[in-house]
Amino acid sequence: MSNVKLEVNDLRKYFPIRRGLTEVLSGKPPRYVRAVDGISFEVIDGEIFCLVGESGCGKTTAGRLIARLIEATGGKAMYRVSKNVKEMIPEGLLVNGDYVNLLGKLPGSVDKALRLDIQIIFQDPYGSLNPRMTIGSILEEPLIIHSIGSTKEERQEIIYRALSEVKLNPPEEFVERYPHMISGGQRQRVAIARAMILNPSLVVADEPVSMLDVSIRAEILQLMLDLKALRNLSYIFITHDLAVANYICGRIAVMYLGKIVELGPSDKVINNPKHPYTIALVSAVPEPDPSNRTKIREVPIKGEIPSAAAIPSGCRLHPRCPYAMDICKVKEPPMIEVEPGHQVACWLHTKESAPS
Amino acid sequence: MSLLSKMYESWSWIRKEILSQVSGKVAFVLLIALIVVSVYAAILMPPDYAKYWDVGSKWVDNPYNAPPEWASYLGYVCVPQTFYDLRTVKPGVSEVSGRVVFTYNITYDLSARDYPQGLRIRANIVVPQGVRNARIRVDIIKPDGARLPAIIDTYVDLTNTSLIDLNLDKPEGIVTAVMSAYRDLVKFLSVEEISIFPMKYIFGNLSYSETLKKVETTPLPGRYMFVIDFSFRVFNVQPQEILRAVEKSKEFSLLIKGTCYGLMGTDYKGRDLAEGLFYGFPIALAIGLLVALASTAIGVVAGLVSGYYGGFIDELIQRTVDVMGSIPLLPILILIAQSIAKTYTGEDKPIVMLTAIFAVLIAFSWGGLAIIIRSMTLSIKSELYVEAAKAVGASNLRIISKHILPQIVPYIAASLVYSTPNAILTEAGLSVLGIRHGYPTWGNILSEARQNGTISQWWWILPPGFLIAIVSLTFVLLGLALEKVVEPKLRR
Repeated sequence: MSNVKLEVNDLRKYFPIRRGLTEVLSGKPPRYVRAVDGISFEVIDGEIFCLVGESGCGKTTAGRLIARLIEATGGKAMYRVSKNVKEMIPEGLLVNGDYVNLLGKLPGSVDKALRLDIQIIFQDPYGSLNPRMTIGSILEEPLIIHSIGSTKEERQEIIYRALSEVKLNPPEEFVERYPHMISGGQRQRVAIARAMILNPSLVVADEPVSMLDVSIRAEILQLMLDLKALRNLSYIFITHDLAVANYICGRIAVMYLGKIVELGPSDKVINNPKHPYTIALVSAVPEPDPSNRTKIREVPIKGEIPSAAAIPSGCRLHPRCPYAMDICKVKEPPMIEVEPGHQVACWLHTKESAPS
Repeated sequence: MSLLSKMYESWSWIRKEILSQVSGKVAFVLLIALIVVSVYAAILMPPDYAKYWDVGSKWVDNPYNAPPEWASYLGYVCVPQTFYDLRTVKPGVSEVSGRVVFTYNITYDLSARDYPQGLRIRANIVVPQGVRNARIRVDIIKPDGARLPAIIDTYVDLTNTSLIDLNLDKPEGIVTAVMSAYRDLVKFLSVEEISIFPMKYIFGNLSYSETLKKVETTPLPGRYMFVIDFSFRVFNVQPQEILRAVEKSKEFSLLIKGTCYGLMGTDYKGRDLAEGLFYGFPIALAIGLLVALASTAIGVVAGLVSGYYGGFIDELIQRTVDVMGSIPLLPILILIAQSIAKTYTGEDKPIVMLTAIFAVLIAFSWGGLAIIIRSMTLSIKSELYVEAAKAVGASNLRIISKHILPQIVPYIAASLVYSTPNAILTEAGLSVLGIRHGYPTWGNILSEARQNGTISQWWWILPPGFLIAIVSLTFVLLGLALEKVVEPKLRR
């Protein structure tokens, strides 16, 4: 377990739905949007772990839970803190020597220490930078909060270094600018610099390139890979774009309606998908070969993703699945390993072990 | 770097930015002028000015409802205020049948075609022992040669005292004297009609119209002679002694009231409006700024706390605002002011009333701002950059002060700027409704004009309104300039 950076177990986040007066009076039970409904995975040291799925499947919520931006409803996320942060965490909270449960209430000092170690890059570089602050003061803020660099000059040095690290050169030109004075790609570089300036060891990247021009996506992805090579970083990379996932990911977890339906090394999941939903996702990727363009592709999944407030019984995919069987409607399929490291939750692959 | 030098740095930056705009320059000049005048007036203002202004006897010398002196350039007929210090005038001394008589011959040139508003003789003389009584008698010789005898005629008995203390402001004898000088007058007019304005007959030309049964008077300009006989019954006292006593007395004077007064004219009580307007500056600014600052501060804090923390405290603040909002402000203010006016009758009544008006205005004016600040906070709170700040470990206080507050500062500035004249206007409105604390605020002057003035008395109505408008303009211009300072997107 020593090379596991983060072990997530049965992570859940339910958002309560506001009930009307009649509902409260008639004593109906409170209802929830089950955005993340019990997902488990591991992130290995230095790995890029991807969460893939349609919009609304809960992948962003999962990322925000790990970045401790919202409180989880249940589950466990054991995180191995890096050495420099470990001193700031009291012995009592440490499990197995190095691990801390990220979920639940933590004292303020521990919370602050963990923020040094776990950072997040947001999808929208237009929203994630305060329009009223210069690039310099945006990057200075984390340094001030964590008292890194005792003088203004020292902090300036760190900011210059961070800016040149994300290839915003010359840095002196950028520190005085406001976000509305630079391009979207440059903004995302600033956002990345802000995440990296605290020297984290785990970065949650929430669709960092989906709002950017296609022409600069590769640059940003390459920058993230370079930074990972430079530091001892692990990424949790959230994306809906399988092409991007294929390019960058080590392992992929495919999510559907708050559950992981398939998990495995990226080449195996993308080239040999087992779950009907994954098969549909893979077949929906645009075909780069022009000779294949005229072929009408088979789209094996029908209909729309259901609301997370009214999750279908049994397997969540069964109303849309072309292979749906009777058991799918009543019982949720367990996660089973189909080949080493490649797991899938589908009754098609569990027929033998399923109780009829 | 210390906090002070940091504050100075940002202040000089703001000043530079404001001064780079035309509206900012104008606002800056006006504001400086306002502050300088206010501070100057506040320093000069006597401590019990409210009492002095409202019931003071200082104003009896002034003409009432008089336009300013410069109104003569606008075609107004102005009779100037004429004052004679009789102590410096050498009288003719004579002795007639045991009385020592000082005769003062005063010439008065009436050049304007109007009647002076009144006559007043005041004396405060300590006479030597042995003076038994004194008499002041004034005859007036009109330009046409007619002599009006004993227009003023007063005896002072000095057997038990040696102090002559006279203030003949509206001498009762005038009407009788006028009636005996013009015997035909009674055929046309009653005593009451004559006593409305006896100056008409003293300083006017009378023409009788038998057929119409009335008397017409027209102002009679020219040189008037006031013959003042100041006589004493004495016992073993030299006339020179009495004369010395008169010359060294506190006061012995004749005043012929004009019809124009000072820089800004007077109101119905003869109060100098220039003085009232001048002392109105610090009070207006204090009401405006204090109410605006306090209510804005409360509104901002309440709105931020309500919007950012949510939950129970949010509910509490918002319901408080709802309740406050549904209580009608004006009746409450009238109620409170009336009960204070009834309860406090002592010296501190004006200040207590002013404080109460302050408190009620503040208490009722932060609610709207709190609601708006709350909704702004709610929307800013859910911005991605606030979440990003949380992700790097920013505390709530830091998020509020560095990320939320700067966004709402333009709105706060605007609210501050607009609620300043608002508070002044509300106070003026209260004055009009009869809630007066006694200080000469501009609203107070306006309200008295409403009750006791007419539309033709523009010098009473226009200046206070104009000053309120100037103050509003200052703050509006300041708000316009500030908006560009706090909103970087407007800057370039």
